[in-house]
Amino acid sequence: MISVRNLNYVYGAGLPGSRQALFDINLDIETGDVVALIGHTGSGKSTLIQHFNALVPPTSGTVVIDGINVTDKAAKKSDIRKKVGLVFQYPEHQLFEETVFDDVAFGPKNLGLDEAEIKKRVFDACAIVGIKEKYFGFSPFELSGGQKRRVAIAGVIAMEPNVLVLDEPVAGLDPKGRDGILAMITGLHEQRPEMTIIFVSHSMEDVARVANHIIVMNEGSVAMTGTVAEVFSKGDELRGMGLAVPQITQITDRLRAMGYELPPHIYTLKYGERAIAALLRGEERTDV
Amino acid sequence: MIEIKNVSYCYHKEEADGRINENKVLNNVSLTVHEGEFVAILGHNGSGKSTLAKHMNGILVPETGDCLIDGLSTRDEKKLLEIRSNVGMVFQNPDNQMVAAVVEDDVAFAPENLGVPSEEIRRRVDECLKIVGMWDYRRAQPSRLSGGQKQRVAIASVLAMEPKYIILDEPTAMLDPKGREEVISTIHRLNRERNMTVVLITHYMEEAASAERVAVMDDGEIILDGTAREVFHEIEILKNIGLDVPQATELAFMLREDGFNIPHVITVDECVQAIAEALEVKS
Repeated sequence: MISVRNLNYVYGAGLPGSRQALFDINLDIETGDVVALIGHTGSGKSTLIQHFNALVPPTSGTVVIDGINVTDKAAKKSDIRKKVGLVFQYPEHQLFEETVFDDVAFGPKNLGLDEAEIKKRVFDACAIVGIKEKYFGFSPFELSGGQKRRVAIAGVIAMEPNVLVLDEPVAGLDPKGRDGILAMITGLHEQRPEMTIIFVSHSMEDVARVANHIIVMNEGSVAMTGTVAEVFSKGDELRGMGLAVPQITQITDRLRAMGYELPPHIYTLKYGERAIAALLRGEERTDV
Repeated sequence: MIEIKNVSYCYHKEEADGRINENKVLNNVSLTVHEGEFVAILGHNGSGKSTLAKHMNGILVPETGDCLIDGLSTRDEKKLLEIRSNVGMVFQNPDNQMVAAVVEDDVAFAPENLGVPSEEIRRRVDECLKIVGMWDYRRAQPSRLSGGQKQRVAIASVLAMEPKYIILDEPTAMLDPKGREEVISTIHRLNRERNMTVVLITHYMEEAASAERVAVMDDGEIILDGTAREVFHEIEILKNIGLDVPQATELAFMLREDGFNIPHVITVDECVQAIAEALEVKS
């Protein structure tokens, strides 16, 4: 459980040119939830998630994760970072070891775990991200962009955090690489249902496929929170914040506006197609 | 005119044991881009599209085959300067392309290096910043701009050379939806109002759908080349090589598969209209 209370953050507080990036953020995220954090560039998403593992101290307010106040200056940073794993944007730029195995093992090694446990964690983490054993001896730099990114994510998963935060995990990947990462998030959630997963995304199609809840940030504040259905039903508001709903939602919204009877909350292609097919067949509306 | 004629290219990698490994990334590629065209090049990572783009202004030179810009071969080192001042390139990461501490100095960088007189530089800088809608930010620090704004400055910096062709290698990959829209509409305006020839390399199907022509690369070859409408009609081929089509196109395809009479569409507008018409016919 993550509780954010009255969180404010000012870049360069007290200096000329200081700028407030977060305004009075209040949020609750349940354990085991898969949450998408959306919002345009500069809306405060990255600044917010950096508070989750004490990378930046808040100007005021608190973040409490499973009973630990991570914004308390006295809290041990190493404990917090064991609890909360943060995967930065373009994490593959941070690969540095000679082999894939060593790179994934780096975090667990620093936790002071024994060899057998380190090995187990590397195997588990690589299985989750879909990196096969035959690549363990490869240099990470011999892999494709999508594979490199998965290795980098495995390095964080191997720390076995309670909370995994991914900052734009699919940025710059092609559709295949993107599908691989999204399937990985879904698979991770199934295998480790107790792990809370928070990911930043610009793609509403991706959010619709993977997330249960959405947090929308705008101008440093939380503009909306709710289930995927609740948030996507506010298409006009999202567009006003420079965000877009999935094409399938745009299409069904417009058909509904023309007077055709379609169920609400359509945001996946599969469901949308079924609803439109039913309409074309002249079937009674079924809200399933 | 940009003429890529039977171009092949390998990257060479030295193995630990000293062997040289060849990795063929372009395999006998031919592509002609005419003046005034807007061509999108689609393909997954590693398909060779960036390698192809780097041939278009002589960053890479073909191993076999030829790359001609207005008849000048990129093999001719004496012509490289002329080629590069005619073919501007914009890359993926806006932070890697800024050279100056102030926006207008960044835009002035290329014409200064070309020895353009200072009054003319002033004129070009103002004009190019106005074209991309960044004139109000001329005295700003690039580091203070958003990603979309930085990319528009990068485009202005390229325009200041007054090139005939502009090649953009995934210019929106690192941007949010708003930044993407700013950059894409800027490129379209350049093409429409200034007849700038545009080659846009992208992963985003919606961006490709707005181009007049789309070429699809896979495994170092061009496997599809036609209008956006024609190319997105090949849904199965695209899916097989790990690419998508716009959701509107896929929805119409799924409805056709289910036996409904819905034509091939590539935009949300067309899709809504097609479904509404089918519903009208039914009632």
